[in-house]
Amino acid sequence: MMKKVGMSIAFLFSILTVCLWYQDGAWNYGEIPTKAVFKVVGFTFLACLCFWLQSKFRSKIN
Amino acid sequence: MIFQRILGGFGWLFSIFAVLSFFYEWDTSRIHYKKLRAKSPYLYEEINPKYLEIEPRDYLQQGDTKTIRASLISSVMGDRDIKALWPVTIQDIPDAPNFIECLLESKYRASMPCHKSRYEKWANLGKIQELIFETDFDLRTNAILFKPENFSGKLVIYHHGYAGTFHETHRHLEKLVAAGYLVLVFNTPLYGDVVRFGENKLISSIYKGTAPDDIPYPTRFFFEPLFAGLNYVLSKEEIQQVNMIGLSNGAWATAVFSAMDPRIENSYPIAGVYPVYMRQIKESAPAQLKKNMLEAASFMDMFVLAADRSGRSQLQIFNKYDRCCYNNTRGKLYEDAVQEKLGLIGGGDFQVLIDTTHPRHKISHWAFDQVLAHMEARS
Repeated sequence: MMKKVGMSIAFLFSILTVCLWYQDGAWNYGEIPTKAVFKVVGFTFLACLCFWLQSKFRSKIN
Repeated sequence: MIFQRILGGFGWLFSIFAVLSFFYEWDTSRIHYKKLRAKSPYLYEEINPKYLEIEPRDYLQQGDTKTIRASLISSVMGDRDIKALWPVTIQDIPDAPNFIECLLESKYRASMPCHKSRYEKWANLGKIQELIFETDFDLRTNAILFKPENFSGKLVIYHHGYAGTFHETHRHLEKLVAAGYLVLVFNTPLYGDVVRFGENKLISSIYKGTAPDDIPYPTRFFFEPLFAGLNYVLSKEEIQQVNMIGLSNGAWATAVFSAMDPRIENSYPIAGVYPVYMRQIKESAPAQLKKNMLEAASFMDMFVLAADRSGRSQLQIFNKYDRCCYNNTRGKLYEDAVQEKLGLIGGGDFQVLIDTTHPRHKISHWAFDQVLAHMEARS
């Protein structure tokens, strides 16, 4: 349950970042620069990867 | 079990990093972060009292503008016949090299062929041409001319600053072309195409401040392409209004060039030029502060020269929370003095605007809209 909350929060901010970036021109001089999109989405991806690996190991042990 | 916990911990850590990165990068929240992190209240919010003690009028010369302009041109350009300067080549943009080469290009070396396909999609774009110039110190540099299909008769010269290329401002340039402006864009020499930073040792040393002091006209290479480009465009097109916008070091170029060349009617230096007396550490690029030039005309004189007759104007914009430089509201301190001088000589308009919408070193949408509205209002 907790990991779903963690992933949802990261996803929510990823979506928010992409939306703000896109609606402001999808460029580096916008309200959210392009590099920020890579940063936020990248951290979200890593978070999901960790949670996914955690659940994989858990199911293997069980 | 421990391994699972570690993975779960990292999962949470990365989730928190994702959230923090959002607030760190989003302009609206980043302003507050920058304010909290400011080492001194004088960085963004308050005016350092030492600047309040200085009288900006003391930095204005009493002589007539024609004499000051002649002296400025002579100190920057020497005996060069500025009316005769011309591009050495005018050509279409070459095709892009292979995809990988473009992908690996650094932002300092972003070349026009690699970005060509982006520009070709613009609304109202007629043609793109490259103008090549040869200047002092064996520099080969270029400018790009964006010709609109439906031309409004107005020209905008855009000059970018250090550590990047004009490609970064493509959305603003797109807006100009869509509005019918003919747009001539320059990078700071040694950035972008042609000759790159480090490849011309002498100019690189002028930028770094390590060049010998006895070079007679150390910044002439900067303005030769601007004169040549403007001469070319004015001879080929029917232009009713000439405007110039510059960011950062491009703002310095805009301030100096519009002071030297009265053909520039409206100039817009953004985040890049303060009088010498109020410049701070990161605002002291050696090439901008050459002694001969500043003895001929102070930056205050240049602001007056840029709007020295009715119909001419200069609108300066500074980013209050700029992470780099030229921040705060210091620009407001000399606004009255320049306006007063312009009133005395029957000159045009001078205004300083402060952009509080972001904490970056850029031209924001807000700032660009102010410039566009200003140019439209003066048509």
